[in-house]
Amino acid sequence: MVDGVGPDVLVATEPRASIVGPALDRAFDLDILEVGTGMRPDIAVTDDTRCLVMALPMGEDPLTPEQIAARAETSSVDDDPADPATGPQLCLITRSVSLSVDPYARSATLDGVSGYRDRVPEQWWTARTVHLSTALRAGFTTTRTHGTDGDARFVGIGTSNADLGVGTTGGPTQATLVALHSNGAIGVSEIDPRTFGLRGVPEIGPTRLETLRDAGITTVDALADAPLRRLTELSGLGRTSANTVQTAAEARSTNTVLPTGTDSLSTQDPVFIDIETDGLNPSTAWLIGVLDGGPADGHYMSFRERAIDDGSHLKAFMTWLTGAAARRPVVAWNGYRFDFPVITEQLRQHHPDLVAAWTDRYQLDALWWATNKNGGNAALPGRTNKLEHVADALGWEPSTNGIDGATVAKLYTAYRSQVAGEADAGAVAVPDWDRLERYCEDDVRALATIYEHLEGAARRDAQTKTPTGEHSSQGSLTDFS
Amino acid sequence: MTDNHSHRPEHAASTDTAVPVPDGGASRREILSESQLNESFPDWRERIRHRERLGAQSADTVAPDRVLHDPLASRLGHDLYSHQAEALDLLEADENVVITTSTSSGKTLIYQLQIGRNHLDTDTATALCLFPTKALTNDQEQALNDRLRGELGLDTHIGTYDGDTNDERKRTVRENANVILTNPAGLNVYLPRHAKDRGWHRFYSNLDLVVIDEGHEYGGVMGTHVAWILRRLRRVLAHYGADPQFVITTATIGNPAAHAATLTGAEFSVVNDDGSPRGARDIVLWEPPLDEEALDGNDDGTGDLMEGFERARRSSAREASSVTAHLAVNGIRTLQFTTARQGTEIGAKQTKGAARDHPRDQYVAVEPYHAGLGKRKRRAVENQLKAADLDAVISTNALELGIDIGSVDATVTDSYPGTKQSFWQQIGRAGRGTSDALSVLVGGTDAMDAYILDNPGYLFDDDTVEDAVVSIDNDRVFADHLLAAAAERPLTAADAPYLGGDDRFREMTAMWQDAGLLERSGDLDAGGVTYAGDRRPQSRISLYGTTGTDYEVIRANGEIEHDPVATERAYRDYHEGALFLHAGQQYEVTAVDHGQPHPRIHVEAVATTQYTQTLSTKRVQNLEVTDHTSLADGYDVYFGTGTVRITYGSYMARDYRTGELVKGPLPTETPPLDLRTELLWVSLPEDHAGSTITGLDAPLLEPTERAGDDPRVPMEQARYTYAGGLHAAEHGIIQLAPLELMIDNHDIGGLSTPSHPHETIPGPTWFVHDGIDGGIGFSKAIYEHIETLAARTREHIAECECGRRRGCPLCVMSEDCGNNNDPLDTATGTMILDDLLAAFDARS
Repeated sequence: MVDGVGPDVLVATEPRASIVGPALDRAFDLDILEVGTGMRPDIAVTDDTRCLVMALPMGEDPLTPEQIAARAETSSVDDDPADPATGPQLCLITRSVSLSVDPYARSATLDGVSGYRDRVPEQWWTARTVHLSTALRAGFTTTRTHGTDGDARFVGIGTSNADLGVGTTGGPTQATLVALHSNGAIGVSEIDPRTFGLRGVPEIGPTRLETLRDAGITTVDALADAPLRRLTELSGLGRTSANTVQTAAEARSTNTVLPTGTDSLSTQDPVFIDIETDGLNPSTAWLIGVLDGGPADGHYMSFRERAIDDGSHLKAFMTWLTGAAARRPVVAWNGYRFDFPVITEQLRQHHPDLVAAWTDRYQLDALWWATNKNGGNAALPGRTNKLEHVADALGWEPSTNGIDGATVAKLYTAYRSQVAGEADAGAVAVPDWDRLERYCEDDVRALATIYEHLEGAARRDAQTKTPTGEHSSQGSLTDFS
Repeated sequence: MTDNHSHRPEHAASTDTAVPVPDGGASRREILSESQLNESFPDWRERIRHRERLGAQSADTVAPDRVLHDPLASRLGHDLYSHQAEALDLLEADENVVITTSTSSGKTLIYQLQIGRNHLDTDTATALCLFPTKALTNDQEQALNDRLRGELGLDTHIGTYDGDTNDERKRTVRENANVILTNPAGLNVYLPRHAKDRGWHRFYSNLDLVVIDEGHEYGGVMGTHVAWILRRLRRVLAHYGADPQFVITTATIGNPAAHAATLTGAEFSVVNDDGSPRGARDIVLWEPPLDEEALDGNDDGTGDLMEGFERARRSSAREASSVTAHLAVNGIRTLQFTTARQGTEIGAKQTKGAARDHPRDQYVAVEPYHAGLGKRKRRAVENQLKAADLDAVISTNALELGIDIGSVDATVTDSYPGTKQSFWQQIGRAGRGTSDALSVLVGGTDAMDAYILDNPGYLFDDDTVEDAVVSIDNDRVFADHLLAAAAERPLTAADAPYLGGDDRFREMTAMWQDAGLLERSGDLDAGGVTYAGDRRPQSRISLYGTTGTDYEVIRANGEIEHDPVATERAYRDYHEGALFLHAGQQYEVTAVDHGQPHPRIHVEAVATTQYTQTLSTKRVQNLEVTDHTSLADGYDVYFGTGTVRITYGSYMARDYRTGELVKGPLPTETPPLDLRTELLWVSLPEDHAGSTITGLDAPLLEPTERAGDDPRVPMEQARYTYAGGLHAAEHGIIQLAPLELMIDNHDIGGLSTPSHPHETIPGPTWFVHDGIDGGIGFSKAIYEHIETLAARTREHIAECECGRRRGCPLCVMSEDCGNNNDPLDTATGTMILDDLLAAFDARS
């Protein structure tokens, strides 16, 4: 997993923080920080020296800039880390800031901020500093104003003991990835260690993993290269599943899309779409991004609402779809679960007369076609089946970064709240629509990229693979890698 | 609130002759004749405490064309009962209707016809029917098909949609059904699919009718959840522009309109004037002989009175078997309901034995019946009974709910089933239709039974039945359902009426926004607030508890169909070593895994003659007053919230045949449990202990040996005696609370103490608290009925036949007592309740 993600710094968190270091392969040259242990702060500096990460030591004593400078020097930092103007971005890690939720008092409070604030040197308490806490739930971010100090950003990277009701699964957090972007954006995502290595290959559960390990197959590459005959001799792996598992491993190992089924894709030129909403259980789809053509040279169009929830763009979209794009299939990633029903619902609300024209249109969920239709038609590369992971594995690069669907939804929601709350329209901070639309454009181009590879796979469906499956196909795949 | 009484008693003339069965033909007339009774029960005169004759009632009918249009009127081959017509008229007038008429009075026909009527108006109309169990759902799907498609010839598509329905069938149902049948737990998880699965849009947009069958089932914890699920449903429906009518059927309860309103958030009209015909019915209250010797032998000052009473108690199950045998020997098919620990198998054996011991030494065919038997065996018993191949069936209360076992001539109830509602439901099993019936209640050994045998008027004269108790005040439950609602559709200001009202809705939304589970940047007044937590919050809502945590019960040596157990009950009743009775079978808890997020209780079926009793210590803190009743002279009753810390530290095992202590106290190894819950407390004047002891005629009590080992029990005689009085008053009220309220008093706890640091408590006090985190409205309901309950309790304690200072299980002793019923003093308890009632009287 560590290899797959390639972090600059690793932070060990409870419950078994002390075993993280020893458990890691020595091959990794990584700073491993542990919070709340030792007498002095634990410090690491990223390779590009732009960011300094510091875990607070045990106790409650305030830290001094000198102490930190002295520690940081050993990591060879030239700039004075205490100087916010020239110094690197600071990222402090504590375990004393936590959330408590009391449904009976109907309140949720951030505890321990005051004590923590007292330990941090004055000049570091700036908007540039990011405060991470291992006592906050991974993915939780909040901005709190403390006294007259201005805003401080707190980001959870651990497990919370707060009473979060049915809002969380309650399982321990496996691993959290915090991405600090140069533009100040912070991305926090949970990552599941089981999506890495052999365990991440579809159809490989704990039992098969054990079987493969016993047979000396410990990496995805090794699985992809193992003779099929050998795999079928292993217990619990019939010929069919050995083939499936190996194809999946090969797709990951070689970053290619490999055919696994016999279904074809429409010969009509598809229209790629992606929607932006106000969350995963949305009440609006305020932006419909459309790509007309291929990933590189296709024409991108944004259908965006003109006023909050006016539905005007839906009509425009449908006019284009039924006019210029008549009879072409509409393709979306995970569309059966999200984009298509959300658009149906939106049309029902705003333009019931257009519902039939939309639902009668041939709609294809490219992810479903690849992984589900008649048992699946393609093995995908990438750590997960998320659009960006698959496209990334296929060598596609986005033009925006530090932004994802959830962030876009947040920005939109914040804007919508302002519009309604503010009488003076001029006072409303308008989001950078252009950036949001570019993000949406990235997604449809990523989709088109994947679709091209799916088409390639469909043309050469599984039948064309040599019956033994023993790697004769490798060479012919190079033009797709 | 509407008074409700569907029984019209005609009082029997005298009690000194045998019970007549005049309408039952010559042989039946004989059964309870003096000579027959003399044969079976030489001392029967002492045992029959009361008999009540409910006369036959003829049908009050209305021609179908008065209410229904054609073709329904002509296709329905019979008249409607007046209550059916009344309900249909109300539905025609756009009212929501709650129907509380008696068992088998044809309540289901009402919603069947309404569905038919809606369908004929608009063939796209849909209806949603909720049933408490899957078994009942299957029964009703069949009944609906027979009625709508068969008898009424309508082209309606009817489908069950629950955990047993496969995906393909589910899709067909979603896309085509006019009527969907499911249960509230199912609706909880299907609701969020409304915008995702094809078909729901059609179904919800066209929804005209929501049917909630057996609405009285939704009280307590389950009721709280169901109330929120129904609000979430209404909110989603509002989005689809649907505002359906509700039909709720319920057993007879005291507060049908209020109960229906709390469950759904809508207003209801009540239909309770029963027009269905009924045969005459005799009800006999039968008191088993008490083995006085067993009692006297144990009043030795050790404080372990339960022992003697257990020995005395075993007579009630045995006595019930004798009564059943008497009826069976005389050719009366009988259904006996038992709650006895020994189970239905031994009950059946005892009945056969009693028939052999009968002077006529007769073989009777008797079978046990309980949920643990397995489907095939249960069906076999049901069929044998229908075919008249059995003389008697000994059943747990599994038979209470709707399942049609066919008709029997008589019922025998071993121990009062806890509520009038289930009492009448059990009785209703005898003599379906217009045939005559006989029912016998054999009194058990606890306070409710004793009260009823002493005051039969409670069952027959009093025009009221218990109130169903459901509450939506538990904020923890609300908080969870708010997340569920947000995951169904983003929250907006318009949702407030469905989701707790404006203030509560906004405050709880803000809390979840602060906690990051609802989108922080969202605004209720501007576009809405979306859900930001882990997927599918609905799947983590447990309808069996309020804390989101419940324990799965796993049987090592076979299957067990046991509902998940709420944390509170797991700590008390399912610690390692605990024995419990479930569906007629004894189980022992072999291990408890408290690990989150899926705690488990491992059990094994055992054959044992033991049962366990858990002991606890308790502390009440963080009191906050939300309501206050000020009485005269420094007496006060408060209602509010607080934290109750309970440590179920040890347990004892006893033999249920003798009550003898087999082992213990043994440690439970259970950690302390903190309940943030609702409670009431009765605050007495500062000097009340002193003045009461001064006024006490009887001698002071000598502290028991056991009390000497318990640091919380005062050892000085006067304080020991007074503490016994407080404790007795607390127990008495909790034990008799079900007389007024349909509540399970196992989910209520109490604590009495001579002093407490809270500012509202200058002197002695006792607390009554909900045993469920966050509260489920039980102590609130008791607070609202405290004067009536205190009066009943006072009367009952003072008049208890035991006449003992330390009381007995018939008055103030409780199996759930964490203190092993020590100290208890009925004399001081009576004085304390007298003082409290006087303070009520002197108020104003």
